Amino acid sequence: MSETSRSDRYYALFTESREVDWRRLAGDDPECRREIEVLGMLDRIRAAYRATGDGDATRTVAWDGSAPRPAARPDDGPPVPPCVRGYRILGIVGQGGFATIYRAEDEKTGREVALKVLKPGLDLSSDITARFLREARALARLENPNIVRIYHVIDENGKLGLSMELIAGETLEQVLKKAGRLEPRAAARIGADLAAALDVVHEAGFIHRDIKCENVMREKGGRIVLMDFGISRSIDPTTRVTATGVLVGTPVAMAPEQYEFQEADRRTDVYSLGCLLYRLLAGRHAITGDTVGEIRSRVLEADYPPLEELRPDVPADLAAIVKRAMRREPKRRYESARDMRDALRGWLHRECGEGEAPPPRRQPFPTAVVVLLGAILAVLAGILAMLIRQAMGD
Amino acid sequence: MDYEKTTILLMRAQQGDRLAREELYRRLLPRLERFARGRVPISMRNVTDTQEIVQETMVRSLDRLEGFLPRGEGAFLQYLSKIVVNRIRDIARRGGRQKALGTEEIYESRREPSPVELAVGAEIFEKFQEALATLKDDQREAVFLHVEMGYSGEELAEALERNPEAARKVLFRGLQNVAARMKLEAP
Repeated sequence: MSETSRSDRYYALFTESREVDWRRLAGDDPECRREIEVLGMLDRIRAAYRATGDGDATRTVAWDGSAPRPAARPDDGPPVPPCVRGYRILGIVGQGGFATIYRAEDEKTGREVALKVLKPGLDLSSDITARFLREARALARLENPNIVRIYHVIDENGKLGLSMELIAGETLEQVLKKAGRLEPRAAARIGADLAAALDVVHEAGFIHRDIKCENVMREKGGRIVLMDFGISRSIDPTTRVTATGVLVGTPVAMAPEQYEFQEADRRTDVYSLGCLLYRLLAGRHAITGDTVGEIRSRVLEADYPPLEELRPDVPADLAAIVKRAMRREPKRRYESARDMRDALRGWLHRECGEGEAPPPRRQPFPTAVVVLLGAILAVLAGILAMLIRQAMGD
Repeated sequence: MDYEKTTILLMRAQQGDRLAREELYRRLLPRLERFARGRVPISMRNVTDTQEIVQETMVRSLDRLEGFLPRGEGAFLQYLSKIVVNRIRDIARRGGRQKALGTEEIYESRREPSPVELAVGAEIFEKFQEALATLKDDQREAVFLHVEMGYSGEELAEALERNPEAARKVLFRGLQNVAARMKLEAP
């Protein structure tokens, strides 16, 4: 075969994206060696984009003389249970792209736990590992009945994970699937509990950033538990948009400032909690759309139907709480999750006689009062000065 | 909506057509996100950051299309990818400063490689970029779209607005020229 036709064959192999051992090929054909090496190099670049673009961090991108190894994917079958010291694996609760959650028994206490173990082979930098451990340990210190309890942080022979409270119940997503929508009182109770949980999270210096029905569990006894604090999100490069740009979930609960690339703060979570409450009450997302672009425009224009239009039986003051939480400008929302919790508890107390009325908020002096007090003081000072002058004249 | 050529969508978007703008966003966003993930250094690999960089680039670029000559999908994606790369570098530099590494030069010497740089080495990747820059427009777009954006033969033909065989020839010529330039520079 002539050099040109051999060379063409190599280009054809490359463009057909065949799995080729370029190193061996280069060794077999010294005359075209440099050309083959360049194609091998381009193939590695192409593979690196493909691996990262598919969110497939376990796929090898190194040119080690072999074809890329097929990656272990979540749908390849059940993962091999890990051996984590002190725990006996009982079964799989669920799995995502980067972690598997097992039902396990803590051998020391006999307690059943949810064991979340990051999948082996993740290409995590030391920075990301350190952040995962730091955040997990900080969250393990949080104590609130509405926050999933983290018992133990696992960092053992390259295995990273958490042992957490095993919640027997269903997500709010599942609750809505069955019920369609919730009664105002039930929704307000959930909102108040979540706002209380968020307040604790915020006070510890975290922003959840992903408040949605899938991340909230309702235990059989009715306890509401906030899950998933983003420690896995910080390492999970799966996208929220499918290959065709179609929405798959979270963008509908993202706050305008997230779409405008501004810093998220506690009011960002307040907005998402407002979206969650809207959904519980209306039985649908406030903002919908087929593409992220469409949703983004609607979020930025606060273009969604008023809750009272979809659900006229929702009391106006409860609808007003939701509306305030979902305001476009963060400064016009509740300043904190605690303020929102108080508003919801206040409503439950007034409307349903539940719980105690939240303590009245300290109101700053209205400007008019300050001006009036100033004027009175000025007049008094004038009178006093006049009296002193008179007394001295006498 | 029927498939409309990117060039046509670009022209419509330039004239203020909101639907065309949305369609461009929808069509090109996943491609650009894939590209960005290959270019974001491992230490910055946080999906929110990458998504934000790409979405911001797309939104801003689609807002300022007046000066752009709508030559085609490849040219437009190359234009967007350059902005994304600059933005990633900018953010990495700021990260470097936050870590008090000092000057940009010190940062550059310490910066972490992106996945594509890890795959072939930063220096070789740089040479590939230089070789790519010397190609004729259509060949450059073909190599860029296939190697960096992951376009299949069919997608490439669509993007280059040629029949599949013609698109394949352009890609072949582009690859041959990259190989020739990189061969010349070999030690």
